[in-house]
Amino acid sequence: MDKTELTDAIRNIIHDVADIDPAQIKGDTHFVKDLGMDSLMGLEVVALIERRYSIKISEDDLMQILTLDKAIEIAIQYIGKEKAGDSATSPNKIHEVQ
Amino acid sequence: MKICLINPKNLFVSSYQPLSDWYWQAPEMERMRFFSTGPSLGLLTVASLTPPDIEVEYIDEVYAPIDFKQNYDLVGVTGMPIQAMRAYQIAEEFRKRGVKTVMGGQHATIMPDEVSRHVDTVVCGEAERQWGELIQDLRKNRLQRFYGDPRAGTVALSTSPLPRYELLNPVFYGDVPIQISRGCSHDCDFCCTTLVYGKKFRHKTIAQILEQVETVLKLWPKKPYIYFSDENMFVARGFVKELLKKLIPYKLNWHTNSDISIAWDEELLELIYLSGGRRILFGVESINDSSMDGIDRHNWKFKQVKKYKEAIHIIQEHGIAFYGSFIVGLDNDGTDIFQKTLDFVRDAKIFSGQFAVPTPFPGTRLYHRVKAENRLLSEDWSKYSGVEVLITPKKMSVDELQEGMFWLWKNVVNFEYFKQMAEHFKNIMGELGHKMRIRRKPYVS
Repeated sequence: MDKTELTDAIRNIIHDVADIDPAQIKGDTHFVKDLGMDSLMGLEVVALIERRYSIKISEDDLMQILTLDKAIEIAIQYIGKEKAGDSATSPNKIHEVQ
Repeated sequence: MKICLINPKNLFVSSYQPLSDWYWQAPEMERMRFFSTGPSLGLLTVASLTPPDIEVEYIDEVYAPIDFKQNYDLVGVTGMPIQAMRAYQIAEEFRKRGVKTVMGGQHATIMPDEVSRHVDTVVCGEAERQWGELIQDLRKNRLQRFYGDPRAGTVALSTSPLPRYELLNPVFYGDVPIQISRGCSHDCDFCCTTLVYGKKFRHKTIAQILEQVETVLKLWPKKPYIYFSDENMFVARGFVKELLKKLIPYKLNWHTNSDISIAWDEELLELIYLSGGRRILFGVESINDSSMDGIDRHNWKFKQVKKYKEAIHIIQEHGIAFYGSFIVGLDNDGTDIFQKTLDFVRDAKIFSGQFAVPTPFPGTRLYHRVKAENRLLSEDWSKYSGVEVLITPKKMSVDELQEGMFWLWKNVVNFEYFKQMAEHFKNIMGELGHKMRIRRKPYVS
């Protein structure tokens, strides 16, 4: 997985969901405190990341996703597990939406 | 000439210390704390009604200290009952220094005689009707004791000016209120709205509302949450659908209040989502049939109880988070109400909730009834937070009610509950988000 591509993709998802300029979204930008996103938007962002990369992020990990850096870190972990065929963490093959 | 308009501070939550500590300290409550102290839209409207040759200062006491040494020509305070005691202190402090004071707003409208003991002038009712005359009298140094005739009726909101949002420091406010309408026909037993705004639903024009939205978006450096601060935004369906279509291009994120009747209007639900409506607070009140009987003038809410779960399911399937507002400790509630309410919240997969006890706001039918029954525990308005037990319950003790309500808060507003709901909402939002972005395109382009 190309990290730059993943970063751009997540930035674009946040832009789509919350109408925030991707350039405003830095690695350590806090989704709630800096971008004014709420929990529902956060869930939509995670849902779209899951669909795009056919992964399924656990609720415990989901709670950690409060910055772009953390979203990238967690997505990379899950994508890696998916590629390794770890069905316990990625049970569902979901259609990509984009 | 200079006028200072003050929104008084009251950060009281509950004299039940565990609840108060939890409110101020729990990480789960961070968002609620951030969004709970909004500006006074009433004062911003009063500022707008003030002629431009008079300088206006707005102080939100939560965020800025009051300088009592300032030599204002008039100090205006406002507030709900919970702010009244502090409003009196502020007014009295200025009066000692010879500054004239006026109080308006909800509490002043309902309790004018009490308020008049603490301020020079009381404004009852809507400022749009009274403020011009008051300013003329101020200029002539002959302010009256009271302004506002309850028999004069309500004002046409098309005459209400754009509130002066530029007086606010955007840094303080995550939620920005925009008022679309006033009035509520439900006329609930415990609610002051009808006393202040009447039963007749009135709304601003779409042009007025869009002007407010554009003003706020220009003034706030980051896109704020818009809070349509109406009692029930969706009463006039044709009007509100037209408004929502016009709001879609602004790509807002907004929330408001409603009753569950919107569940049966597919077109409306879709427009709410498309225009950025993501969270709606619904006055569920109680899941106990017998407690709901007679709670509003037409017994409308009582007739809805059996439809709640289906309505919640439909609303949330449309990507709108259902925030349930529950009252526990009503006269027919026993101690089993707490577990039953929690079971209902979980079964219905309600996104989140808030829990209150019956609060006898002054002037309401509930207030008069419990006072006559000698069950009113305090008339210290500064405790009228909604979560302080102020009425002796019929079927449980005060302690049982206080502890049971707090137990509900802790069981619903916590990360574990959120995790349980997250999977459900991820599925909804994932499906819907993509579909709706496509549906939104014609409106945006």
